[in-house]
Amino acid sequence: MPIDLSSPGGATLALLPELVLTFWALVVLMYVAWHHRDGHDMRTAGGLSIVGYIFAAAATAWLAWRGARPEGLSFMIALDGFRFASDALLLWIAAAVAILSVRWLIRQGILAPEYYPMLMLATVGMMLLAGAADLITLFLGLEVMSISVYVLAGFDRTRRASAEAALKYFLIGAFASGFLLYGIALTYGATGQFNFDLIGAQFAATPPTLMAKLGMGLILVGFAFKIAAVPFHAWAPDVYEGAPTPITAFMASGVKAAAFLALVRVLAEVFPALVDLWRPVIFGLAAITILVGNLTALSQTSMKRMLAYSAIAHAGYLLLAVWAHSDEGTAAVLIYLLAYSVTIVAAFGILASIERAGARTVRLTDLEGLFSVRPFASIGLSICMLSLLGFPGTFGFIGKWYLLSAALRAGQTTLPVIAMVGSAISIGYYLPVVLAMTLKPARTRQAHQTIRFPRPARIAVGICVFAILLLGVWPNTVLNFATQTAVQLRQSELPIGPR
Amino acid sequence: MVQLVWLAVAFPLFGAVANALLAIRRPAAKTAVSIIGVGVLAGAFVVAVGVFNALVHDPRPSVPVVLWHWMPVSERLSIDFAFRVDHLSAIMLLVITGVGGLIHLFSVGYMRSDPGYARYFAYLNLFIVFMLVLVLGASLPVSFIGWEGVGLCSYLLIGFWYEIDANSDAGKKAFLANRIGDFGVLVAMFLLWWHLGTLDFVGITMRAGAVFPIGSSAALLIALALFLGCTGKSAQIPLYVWLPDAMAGPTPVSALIHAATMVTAGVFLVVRTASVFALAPVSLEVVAVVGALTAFVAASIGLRQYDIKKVLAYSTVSQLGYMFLGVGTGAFASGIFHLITHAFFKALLFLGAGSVIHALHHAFHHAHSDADAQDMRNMGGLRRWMPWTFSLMLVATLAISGVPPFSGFFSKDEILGAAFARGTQHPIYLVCWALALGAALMTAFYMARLLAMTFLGRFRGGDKAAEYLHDAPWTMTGPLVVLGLLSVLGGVINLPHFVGGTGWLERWLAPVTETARMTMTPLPEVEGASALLLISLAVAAAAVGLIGGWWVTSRATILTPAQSPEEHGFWRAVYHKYYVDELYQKVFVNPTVWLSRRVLWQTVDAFLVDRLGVGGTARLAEGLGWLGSRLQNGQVAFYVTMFAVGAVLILRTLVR
Repeated sequence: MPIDLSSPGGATLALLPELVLTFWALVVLMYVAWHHRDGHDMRTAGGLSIVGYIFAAAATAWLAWRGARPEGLSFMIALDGFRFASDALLLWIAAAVAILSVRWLIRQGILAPEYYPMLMLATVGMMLLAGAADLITLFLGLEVMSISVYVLAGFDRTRRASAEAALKYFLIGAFASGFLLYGIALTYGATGQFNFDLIGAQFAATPPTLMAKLGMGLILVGFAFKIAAVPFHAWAPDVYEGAPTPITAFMASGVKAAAFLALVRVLAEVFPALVDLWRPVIFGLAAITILVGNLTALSQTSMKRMLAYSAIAHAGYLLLAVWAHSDEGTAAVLIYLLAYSVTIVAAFGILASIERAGARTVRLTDLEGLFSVRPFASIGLSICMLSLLGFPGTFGFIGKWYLLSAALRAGQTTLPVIAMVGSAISIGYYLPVVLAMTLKPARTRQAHQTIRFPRPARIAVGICVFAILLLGVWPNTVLNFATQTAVQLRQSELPIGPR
Repeated sequence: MVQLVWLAVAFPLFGAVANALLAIRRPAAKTAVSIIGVGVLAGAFVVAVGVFNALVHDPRPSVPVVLWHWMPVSERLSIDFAFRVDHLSAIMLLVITGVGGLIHLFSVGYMRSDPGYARYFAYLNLFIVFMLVLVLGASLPVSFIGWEGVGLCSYLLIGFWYEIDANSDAGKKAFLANRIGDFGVLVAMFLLWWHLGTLDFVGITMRAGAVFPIGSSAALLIALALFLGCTGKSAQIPLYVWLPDAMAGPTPVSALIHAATMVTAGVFLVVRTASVFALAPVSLEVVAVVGALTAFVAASIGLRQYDIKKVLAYSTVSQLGYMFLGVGTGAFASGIFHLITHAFFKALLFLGAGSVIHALHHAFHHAHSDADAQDMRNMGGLRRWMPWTFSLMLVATLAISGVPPFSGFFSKDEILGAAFARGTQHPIYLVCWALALGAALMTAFYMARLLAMTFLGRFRGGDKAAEYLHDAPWTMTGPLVVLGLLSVLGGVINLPHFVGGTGWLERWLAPVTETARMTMTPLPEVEGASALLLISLAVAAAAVGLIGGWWVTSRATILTPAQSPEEHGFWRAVYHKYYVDELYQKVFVNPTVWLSRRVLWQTVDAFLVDRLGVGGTARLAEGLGWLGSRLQNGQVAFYVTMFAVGAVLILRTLVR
């Protein structure tokens, strides 16, 4: 189904998922304007928001099913399999986070149902970011996402840590946005274009000027901030720890996924001709991110902080596939993001259920003896840790395997070695979690008695854990899908113009 | 129907999962556990009968059942998770689910009062799953899953009462002996893949003949490596030592795993890979000699044991030796035949012993006696209280001793006959035959001794305990009756020609071992007078042994363990199992422990790796991590500075 993106009707059609979700966010906002008193209103708002994700997913599926593709140039927004796959990934993460939030917010006494429209708008931003075909759309999506997430990070505003996290995130985020915007401006100055394909065509035809190089560098800095690559990572542990736990899950999986998807698209469509220039940057970022993330995670005692540093390390692993700059690399990014998000949602879902109302974050020692009281929760968390570690038989292993093989096929051998060293270090902080739960006795007899694992969260976590195991031994369908999708990203590079 | 064979595995798998969940959540729900645990076996047996029936009417002798593509390693090596239903696996399927089902039913009564009831059934169901995977596997890797899995379940069930150290030690011993054997199977697998490029059983059978010439050293190496695995799993010399200790597990486990099914896996594997063995005649001689020696040595140890289960354990080792002698002579069908009849009468013997132990344990418990419920010196005269158990044990004794027309007579006679016939070509088999005949004599002797000490004479456990003795409930005697019938009639499946039979089993298994038999020189027929003489010798051995055992035992005064004096001379060595365990301890275990403790642990691991390697690395990593944390001082200004430095570095990289 060819769509003329320059016509208003065509643009509406192409933006259908985002529009549906925005509209529904407004509907939910209208609802909560009148109903924001008690837990029931919170639950209704949460349920409504999940319906919105389902509608948006249906719109995405419809576009994908009709084979929507741009008539002529990709104008402002991309229309290809990669965008649809990105949208599906982001929508499932948002929906899972909404499910995990429902009871958690009530238990923590955060009775502000505006949370859910905010989460939906953040998702709209993520979808725009990942689907942008134009630097303006890219920036728009990034800002919609970022501002929503600043608010969400500080949503537990009575807690100092949450407010501090939001402020810190906002300050450094604004700083990073400045870099990105300046990068966009310089790129525009160098090429006179905003459109990805047109810029790409120009770079392919003429060697880059100093202005173009600076523009690309600043854009990369902006992305490095969003994916929390070292040395642009410093905000992440503080913000992850202070933010409400479901939002931490959202940032670690959703925001990072959106940024990575956009980075892959930008590098594939805007800067493919400059690959020899940007590869060393990615190389350096990946190496230092893997090492610093894993090493710093070792000395953490708070679970959320540990997972924050581990999230940094995983961003480093993902950069391997970005470096590869190939179909395999793109497919590996998709697979890894799915594996990582499934795992991280399950892990944070379990951690959220262990948190007591208003208490400090869960420490490693708080997990001791969990197995004897909550065998299934601790088995689930153990599986998550093994998946993050990349243990064979889990989805995390499949993901890591494809990252490494993508990098190796692209001729990179140093980074895989660094990644393996990083993985080996990561045993030192993932396994103690398993050991604490299973081998150590509980500190007190009353330990773990306050754990509440509400049914929706239990189901969501159960599905995630099952998916980790199932896709760990039977990944064929997902692999095939990711491979086919990755090819589409490359095909959309060449609508017109010289190469 | 044949394609539905996966159901036979799925049923017990469901049972294992369900019972495991019950064991975690509701250990007290014993009725549910019983229904699930026995029900899934009944379901599996129905499937087995259906599959068998379908195969009888199927023109193909062997049907592949591919479940999913398992390891697509490369273009050349792609292993499917597939089953192969052929005449061999179908009949094993029947035996495992049938005998297994009866033993599950027996366990309901035997284990009822145990707090770990649900856990027990979870393990037992899981064992059936792995055992079926072992026999149904279409390729070595798939069968190896089952091979390892049954070892795991065996370990778990031997150490089922893990609170007692000796039990978990016995489990470890079994596991270690099996691991040594498994190493052999792995080596064989790599060699087969290296030489033949396939691990599928059909592929191995088809290609082995083309690749290996007869008597080639590669085929010999593979066959011996496989046989090493068999000696571990099937408790043959030199790895038999774990099986007697394995009696630490619950008695139904001994019946199921350590008599009827798992320990016969080695015999099964030799028949499965018969084509490789046939290409290396020396390997078959090794199999036969080891089998005959094991049969003889184990039977002699059985003569002087007092623990009722130990006697049966050595008897099992000895009978497994017979099976290996059978397959070692190339009479593959005879080996499988003895495997089946042995499954019937040995399961019956173990379950009967279980009944006795159960009754005595109960009686001693109520009489506040701390006497050992397994020591035959504390038994005697139980015929009065346990008539059912006695008559069924008598049937099994006659069967194992080889008294016609009980099942054991036919299967044992076939093996002896085959060994003798092969002896006309190669004298070493004559030695094997003589050893086996001697073992038959001793088998009859120790079985008669067992019966006499347990059921005849007067009860030596004290009058107080005698008041509480009674026969077992029907869930326990019922399976015994069925097994008793099978022990009597089991010979029907392979009646020899001289009694008007047609040798059904031999014809049925013919397609499975066709390639192997075509490679080997055919077994010469022993006919006329000499055949008659052979049979008479076997029957005479059984009769002499039985009568001798009964006569010697019932005339001797049997003292309770406390009163018994130390054994002397040769019998002392027999009682202590020829000190083989002590020898292994000195020669293998102690040096290994010394090496691992002093050299590997204290020097290499603790000092070099831990202190210098891991410790050093960990300290280095921790130090770097600490440094990283220092950078994380919570100050936004500092973060922004880091950010800016990073940005400058990136731009510097790009613009040079």
